[in-house]
Amino acid sequence: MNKPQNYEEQQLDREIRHFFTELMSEITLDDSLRVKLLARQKDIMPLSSWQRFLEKEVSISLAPLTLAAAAMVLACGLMLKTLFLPWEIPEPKYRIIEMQAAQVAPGLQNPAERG
Amino acid sequence: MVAGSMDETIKRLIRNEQAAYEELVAAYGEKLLRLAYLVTGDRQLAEDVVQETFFAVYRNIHNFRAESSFAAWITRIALNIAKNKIRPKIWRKIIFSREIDGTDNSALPQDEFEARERRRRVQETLHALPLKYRDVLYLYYFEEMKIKEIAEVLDLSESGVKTRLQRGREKMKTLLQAGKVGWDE
Repeated sequence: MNKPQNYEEQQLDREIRHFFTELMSEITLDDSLRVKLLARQKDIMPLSSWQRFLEKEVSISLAPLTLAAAAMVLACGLMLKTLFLPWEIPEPKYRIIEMQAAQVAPGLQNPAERG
Repeated sequence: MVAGSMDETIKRLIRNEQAAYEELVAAYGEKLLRLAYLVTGDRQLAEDVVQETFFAVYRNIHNFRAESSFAAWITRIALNIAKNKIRPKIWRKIIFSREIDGTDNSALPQDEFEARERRRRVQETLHALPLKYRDVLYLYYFEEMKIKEIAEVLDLSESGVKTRLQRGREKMKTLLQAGKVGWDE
């Protein structure tokens, strides 16, 4: 039968309740503490908007932050032209060579100079 | 304090009205003091906890969000402050021994002696009960809060609260019998 077990449980419930009632019987908010709490309040100011902003927690995910940082490094490198690129740097397609005209094509001499 | 009037009190607190603060102290002062005493086991520490709680509440009233009730919010702040106070183990031992050794050895009237002895046994039982069961049992049996409300205050699931209640009751049964702290009905 459940009756004895329920009675025991009810008895335990009563004892626990009595325990806390007895424990807290002398714990009351006396006038001295009330005065302290109210006196302290005068020294407390709510946080200003700026202080609330500074204390606000901002959560930033790691992956977007890493990608953003990498993109900024690339952009800075490209702007400064100091970024080392893995592929070949293209060489210029021509170079200027100083030559005498006669060395290139004797037949093309100025007729006035032929005499 | 009903929910609607608390909303109004919060608005008045934000506007820095003295009367609103007095209402807050009247509504929650004693409850928080008892809760703090439950955790710390020391009256002076409990008073410090209450002062720090009201300080924190008043400074951060703008951060209160309506996701939880104001009672749950302020209770949670008090519990966290109280638990931080007793965190170092050596501190807790010093507090406990001060409570016990405070008795003088002069002859006392029998009634007074028995009352003092009984208080000592009740204190010992309290300190022997693990903190995780203490607050749940207190909120359920003394404050007569519902499981859902306790879960909100302690940031637990309802099943977690029920588990702690069950285990706490079993522990209390053992402690009450061992400490010979009983009541005749």
